[in-house]
Amino acid sequence: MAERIRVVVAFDTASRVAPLIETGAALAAGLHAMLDALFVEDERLLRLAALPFAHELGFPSARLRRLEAADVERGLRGQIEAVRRQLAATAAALELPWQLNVLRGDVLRTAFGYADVADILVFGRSVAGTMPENGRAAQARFATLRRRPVLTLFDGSAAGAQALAAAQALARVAPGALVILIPASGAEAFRRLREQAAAIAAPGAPVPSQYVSIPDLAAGTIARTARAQSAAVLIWPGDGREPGVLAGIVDAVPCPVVVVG
Amino acid sequence: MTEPLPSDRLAHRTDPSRFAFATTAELDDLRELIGQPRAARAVEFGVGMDRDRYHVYVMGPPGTGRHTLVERVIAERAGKAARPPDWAYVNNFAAPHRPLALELPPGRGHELRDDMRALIEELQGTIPAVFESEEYSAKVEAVDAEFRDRHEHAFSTLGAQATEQGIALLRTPAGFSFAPVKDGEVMSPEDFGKLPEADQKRIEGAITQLQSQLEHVVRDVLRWRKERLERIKHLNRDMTLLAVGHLVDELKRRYAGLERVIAYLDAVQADVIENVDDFRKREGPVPTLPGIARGEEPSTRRYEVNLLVDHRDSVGAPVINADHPTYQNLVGRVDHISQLGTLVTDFGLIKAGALHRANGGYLIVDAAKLLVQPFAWEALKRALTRREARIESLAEMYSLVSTVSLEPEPIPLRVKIILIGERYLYYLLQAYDPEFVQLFRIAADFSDEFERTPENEAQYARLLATVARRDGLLPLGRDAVAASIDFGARLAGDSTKVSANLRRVVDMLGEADFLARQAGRAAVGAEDVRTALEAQRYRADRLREQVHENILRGTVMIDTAGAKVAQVNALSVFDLGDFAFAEPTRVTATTRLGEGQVIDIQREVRLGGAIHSKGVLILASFLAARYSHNRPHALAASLAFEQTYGTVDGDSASLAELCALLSSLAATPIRQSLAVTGSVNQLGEVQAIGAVNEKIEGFFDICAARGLTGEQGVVIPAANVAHLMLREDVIAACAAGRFGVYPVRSVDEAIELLTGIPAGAPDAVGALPPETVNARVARRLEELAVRHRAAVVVRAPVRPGGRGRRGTRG
Repeated sequence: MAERIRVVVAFDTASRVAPLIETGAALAAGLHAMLDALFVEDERLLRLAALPFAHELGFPSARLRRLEAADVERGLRGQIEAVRRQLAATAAALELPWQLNVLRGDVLRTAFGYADVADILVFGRSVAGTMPENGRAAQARFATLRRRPVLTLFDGSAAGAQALAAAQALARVAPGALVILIPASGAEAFRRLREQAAAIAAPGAPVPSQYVSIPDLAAGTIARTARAQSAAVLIWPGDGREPGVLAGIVDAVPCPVVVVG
Repeated sequence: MTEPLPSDRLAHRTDPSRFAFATTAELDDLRELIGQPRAARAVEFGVGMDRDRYHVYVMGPPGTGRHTLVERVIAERAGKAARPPDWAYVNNFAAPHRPLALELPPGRGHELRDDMRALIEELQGTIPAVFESEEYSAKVEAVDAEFRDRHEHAFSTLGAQATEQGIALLRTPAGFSFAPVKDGEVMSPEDFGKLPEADQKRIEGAITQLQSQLEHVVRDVLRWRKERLERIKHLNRDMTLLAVGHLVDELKRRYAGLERVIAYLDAVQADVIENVDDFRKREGPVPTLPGIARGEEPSTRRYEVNLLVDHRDSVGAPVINADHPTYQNLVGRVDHISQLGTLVTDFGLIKAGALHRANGGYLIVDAAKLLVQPFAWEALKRALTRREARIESLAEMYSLVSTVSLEPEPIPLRVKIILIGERYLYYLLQAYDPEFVQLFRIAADFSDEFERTPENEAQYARLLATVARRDGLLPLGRDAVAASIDFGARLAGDSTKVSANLRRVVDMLGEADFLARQAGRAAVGAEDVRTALEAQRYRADRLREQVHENILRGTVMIDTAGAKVAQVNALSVFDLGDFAFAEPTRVTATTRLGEGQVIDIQREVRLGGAIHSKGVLILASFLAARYSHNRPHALAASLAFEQTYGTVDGDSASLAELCALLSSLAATPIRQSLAVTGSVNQLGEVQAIGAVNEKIEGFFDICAARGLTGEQGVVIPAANVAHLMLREDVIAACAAGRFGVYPVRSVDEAIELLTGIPAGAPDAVGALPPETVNARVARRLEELAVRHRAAVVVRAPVRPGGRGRRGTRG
């Protein structure tokens, strides 16, 4: 009997928590998977706090204050608790099995180390951070996923097919537009990959699909395309599971990145 | 010697044969009022007078048709008048505690209310649809994307600058920080310490500079956020205007010409745009507190129309009868509801008062009911003086509560007030309330009775026919009509008049109808009327029977036979409201040497009223003037109402008292078979008194119980003969010579009847014939005067006067 698939959602201090949970929960619901959250305490912060000149500029207060290791520890505990609360509420609403683990290290490397090959990983962070929403009511269920398109990269690989399957899983719980990115050097290559993707995506895919050709897989290219499409999520076929390949994309793309395969 | 009245002068019976009808079923309804031409003209004038402050006070006793006349006159005018406007209270968006009053053409108030409800329902569907549209989402997304790009660009630029200097921009749990980097990793303190001091300083300096730049970026982000919110708000306004604008424009076209309504609709549009979130669907659960029912959806109550006065189905001007004229029922009120233990209110809780409902028409108010209600009279006057209906909270005016209340915009008032009340209230208000005189300039005075002319009797028959039809009674036979008119005359206490108090007659007719139906008759007959009246009398007769029994048993001493010196049967009336009866009372007198004073024992013990005392003083003056005009009046006398234990008032016993005194002075016995009633003046003339019928019947009943002898009777003032409406049994006894009613004009006529001795008139030189009552009195007073000259008279102390009337009247 095959072990149940997990959706591992990786958080760190710079994570966009709400979109990550929304994406992770939608995937878990669509794939009938377990929602496995991992909060990675950024070890760089603890090292930074040990420096004698370490200061923190509050956001959004813009007040400069001394950064102590104890402050970092306390702040991390607060973030973990906030993630736990939001996860619990979402999982309860969707009746999902879930868990939250806490590790220390770099979020990408630690998450890849934590997950199995078959697991789906969800990342999403922004150094720029986001403003709190001033107590506004929480977004309706999967509102972002319904409103904005899901981007998925299809390069003809097995991982690309799995990425398309993940996109279809998302569409089952949050129907929306699907934009398929096809890295192709020429028109013929684009047509061939497009037909291949269409053949995979069409059955049981009630969502309208759009195919976009991209010249390369550079983080800048992906990020620009994601911005142009106002993507809700990017599904990335993660061949090789190399954190270094993804780091630039995760930091550059303004939406959660789902790593499949 | 005065002869008893013939029986045909003891009552004026209506002859049924004068009526041309068999029963009242043949008669038309009577719409006009009988015998009240003055009041009718006053009411018609007052109601028709279309000027401010010409309100009407209708005065007169209850049951005289005041309401009937007023309602008829008003109905005639109101039916022809135009419908007044509708009035509604709406929210004042600029100052919610001061709701606005909107005037609308009659019947359009409910249209506006329904239109506003429809508008809000429409907006509750349209606005969410607009905000869920692709167009709106795209515009919001465009705004968000623009600001998101600015945000990320600012940080990525700063991050890139830091990277160039070997420094990393890091997110911390509560903000940002910069850290020196070596080989892609944040340097440890040990590694940093190993750096040359110059490098350390350079890094620290760079970090300080970057922190300063970061501070600017963060401030920019905050500014952009505000800018973004403004852009979204502006976008929301534009989108809302798309939804609400054409709907409100449509309404404005429907209410064109009604400037205040148009202004209100503009205010509604502005408020909807400003508070569009109230119409958008909420996302996620709404936080609530236990016990709060509301809050699931934002309230749109402020857009509702509180239709205060609705003339949609009215015909003509309104006619409102304020049955319970409390302050709030009159001027309206502002209700409150409890929320979280606090009383709150809004314009929707404003309730109309009678003034609002009667505005543009007529308001009928019972004066007595109005005056006993705290603050109601003052509020009515204030409204009439200001010519506006203003709702003010009493509790707030007197600082009794500290809860939030409203100051609704006053509504212009144009109403005719008809106060209906008794005369004494009118005169009290006129005397003590200057504003009343200013506001109520028309008085309609209803008479207590009307003349018993053939025309009025014929109209009275029609009135009875009307009442019988209205109340579902059997028709009245002509004999019953005649008996009813007789009853009306008896109520008036005057054989030439009929009481205008219809209530007693209506009550009697209802009972007569019951008796006629029991007997299986098709019409009410005279016998039914008489039986009903007898039954009424019997029901109210307990006290009379008790007094009667006390006399018959000798507990209260009243002689009805024989003769006694200084003792006279006077007659006292007991008034029990709807029922009055009379019983004889023994009056005694004592005389002795004195200085001319007559002691009224009732007054001495404060059981005599002022009018009674006046009567005693008048008879004393009469005595002195007639018998002692040229010599000292050396008399001291005492008068007493024997066996009375309550207050006695009125002067109807003054003739009896004078006769008792004369009997005492003349030492001449008085017939106890006669009772006496009447007042006297200083000239010895006998004057009319009230309740003559009850008095005669009261003595008759005692005599009849002991056995009528033919000697018994009652001495009455001749001026009261016209008032006689005696019972049939009394008249029958008189006709048979077993009882007599003796009209007298002077005390001399009375004393002759009572003593059987001539009174005696002075001759040309003033000499009185011997062996007359007056001669005996004069002689006795002469004796006292002689003795007075030789005697020392000790003056008795004079005590203060008596108290007010209570219990009985004479």
